[in-house]
Amino acid sequence: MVEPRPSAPTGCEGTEVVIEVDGLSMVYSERGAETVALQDANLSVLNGEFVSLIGPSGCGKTTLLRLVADLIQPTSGRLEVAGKSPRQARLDREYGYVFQAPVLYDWRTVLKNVMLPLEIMGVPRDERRLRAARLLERVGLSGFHQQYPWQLSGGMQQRVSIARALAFDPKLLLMDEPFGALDEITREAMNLELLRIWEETRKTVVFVTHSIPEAVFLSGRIVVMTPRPGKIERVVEVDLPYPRDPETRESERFFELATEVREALRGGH
Amino acid sequence: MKPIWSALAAALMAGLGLVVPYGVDDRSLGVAVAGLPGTLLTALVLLLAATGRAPAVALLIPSGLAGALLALLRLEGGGGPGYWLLFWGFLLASLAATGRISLVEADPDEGPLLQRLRGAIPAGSVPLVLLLVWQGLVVGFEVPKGIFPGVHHVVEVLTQSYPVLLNDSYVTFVKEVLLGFGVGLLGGFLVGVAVACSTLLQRGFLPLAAAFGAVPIVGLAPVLGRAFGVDWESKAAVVVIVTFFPVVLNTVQGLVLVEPLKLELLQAYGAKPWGIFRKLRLPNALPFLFNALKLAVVLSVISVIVAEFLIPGPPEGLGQRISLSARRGAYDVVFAAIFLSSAISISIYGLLSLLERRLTGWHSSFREEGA
Repeated sequence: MVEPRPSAPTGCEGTEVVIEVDGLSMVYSERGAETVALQDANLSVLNGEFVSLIGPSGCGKTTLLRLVADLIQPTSGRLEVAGKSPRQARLDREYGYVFQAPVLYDWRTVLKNVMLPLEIMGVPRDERRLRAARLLERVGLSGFHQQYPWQLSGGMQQRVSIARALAFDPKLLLMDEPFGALDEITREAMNLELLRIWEETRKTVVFVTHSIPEAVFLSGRIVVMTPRPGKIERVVEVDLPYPRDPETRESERFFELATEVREALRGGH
Repeated sequence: MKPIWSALAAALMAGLGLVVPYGVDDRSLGVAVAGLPGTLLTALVLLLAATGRAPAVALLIPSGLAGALLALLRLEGGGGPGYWLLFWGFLLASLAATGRISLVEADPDEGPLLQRLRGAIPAGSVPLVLLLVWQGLVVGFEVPKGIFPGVHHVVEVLTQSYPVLLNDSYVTFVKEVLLGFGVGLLGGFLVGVAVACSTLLQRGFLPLAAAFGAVPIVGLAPVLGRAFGVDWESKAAVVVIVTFFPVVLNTVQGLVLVEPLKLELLQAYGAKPWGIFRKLRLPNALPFLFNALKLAVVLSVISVIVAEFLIPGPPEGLGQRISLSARRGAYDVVFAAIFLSSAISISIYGLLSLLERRLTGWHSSFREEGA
C-alpha cells in the first residue's frame, strides 16, 4: 500500500480515500487456459488526486479501471469505491467514464449527447440543457450544440465525451486512454485542457495511458504496471508543481521522472 | 460548343422526311402533310443543331420532342418513309441534345438553378421519349388496340373510367395493402422486441423467420382465400405475412446489434433495461426497420396483385381488374391499372424514403449529402 504523500503540490488533495484496492486479482479462463490479467494489486487513491496507470498492453491497466467501474467483476480481492462496493458506486453514479473511443450516439446532437447521462438520472429538461451547455463551454465547444458527432474532428469528439463524463458532477473521473487515437499535437493540447478542467473541478482522476510523457505531464502519481501476469510494479511520485504548462515538458525534472518511469517499466522484463 | 454532329445528322433525317411520301396509303410528300408548322420546326431543329451553343442545344430538346409528336399526330393510316424519317429524326435530335447537356462538364460558376436543371433534363426527357416511341410505333404500324394499346387509349381509359379505377385502387391499396402493412408492421415489431429480449426465442425463432423469407408466400394465397374468404381480407392476410417476417428479422438485428461500448456507457450510468431500450436499442434499430419497410412495400404490392389473380372474388381491386380485362382483351384497361398501381406504389416508397431521411438522417448512409 502507498502511504499518503507528505507534501501535496497544490494542497488540493484531501486525505479521504476514494478508491481502495486490496489484493485484487482478475483471472480469465478460456478453454481451460488461464490468463492472469491482474495479480494481487494494492493501491489507494486519495480525493482530488490525479493518478495515471501506465504500462504495455496486457499489463492489466484497463482491467483495473474496468474493475473500479464495475464493468467487470474481480476473481478475488477487495475493492471499494467512494467507500462503497463498486456496484453500489456505479448505481449511485459516483464516477464518470471516458472510453478510448468517444462513443457518442450518432443520432444525437452534441448537446443531446452531453445530456444523455442526465436523462438517465431523471434531471428536469431545463436543467439538463443548462448543465450540458455549461459543460460544453468548459471544454471549449460552445458553438457546436446542434452539430452531429460525425461533423466534428476526433479531438472535438473526445472533448464532447469528457463533457458528458462530467455531466452529473461525479467525484471521480475514470479515463481509459482517452487521447490514444489522437495525433501528438492534438494530444498535447488536450493534456493542457484536461489539467485546466481538473484544476477547476478538483475531481479525482484515474487516467490510463501508454505514453510516458503524457503520464508525467499530467499526474501526481504514476502507477507503473507490467504484464504476464499483469501487476503493479512500482508507484512513481511526480513532484512537478501544478499548475503545469508547456514549459514543464522541457524542465530537467520532467526528463528525470520520464527516465524513472521508463526504467520501472523495463524492470518488469 | 461545337455543333453536335449526331443531332445534325438526325435533323437532316427529319429534313429528308419532308420530301418523300409520308404515309403508306397517303402518298403525298412529307412537306404537304407536315405543313407549315412541320417545315418550320424542321428548319429550327436544323439551325439549333448547327450552332451547337449551350442554350440552343437545350432548346433542341423540346423542339425535337414537339416535332416527333407533330409527326405522329399528322399521320392517318400506316406510316411511310416520310413519317419514319421525320419521327426518328426529331427523336434522335432530342436525345442527342439531352446526352450532350448531361455529359458536358458543368461550368464552375454556373448558378444553382442551372445545375439543378442540368440534373433534371435527362430524367425529364427520357420518359417522354419512351412514351413517344411507344405511341409512334403503335400509330406508325397501325397496331390494333386489342393487341397493344397506344398511349392515347390508356389515357382515354384513365380519364373516362376513373371512378371504377379509383375504387379498385382504394380496395387494393387502402383495404389490402395499407391495412395488411399496418398489422404486419405492428405485429412484426412487437414480436421482434420479444425475440430480442429472449435468448431462447433468438435461437429458436430466428432461423425459422429467416427461412420464411425464402418461402414464396403468394403460393399460400389459395389457402388463405379458403381461410379468410375471397373478399379483400384474404389479400390483406397475404400482405400481413409478407410484411411480418422482414420486420421481425430487421427489428431483432437493429435491437441486438448494438456497439458494446455504447452499451457499457449506459451501464456505467446505472441505466435500467427500459432506459437502455429507449435511449440506445430503439434508435439503433430505426435504420434497420426502414430497410425492412421499404423492402416490404415493394413485396406487398407485387404479392397483393398476384394474390388478386389467384383468389378471384368480387370484381374489385387493381389485380382483379388486370386479370379480368386481360381475359376479354381490354389491354388498354390493363395498362391503365398497371400505371395506377405503379404510380401509387412509387409514391408510398417515396413517402417512406422521405420519412426515413427525416428520422434517421444522422445515419452514415445519408452523410455524403448532408455534409
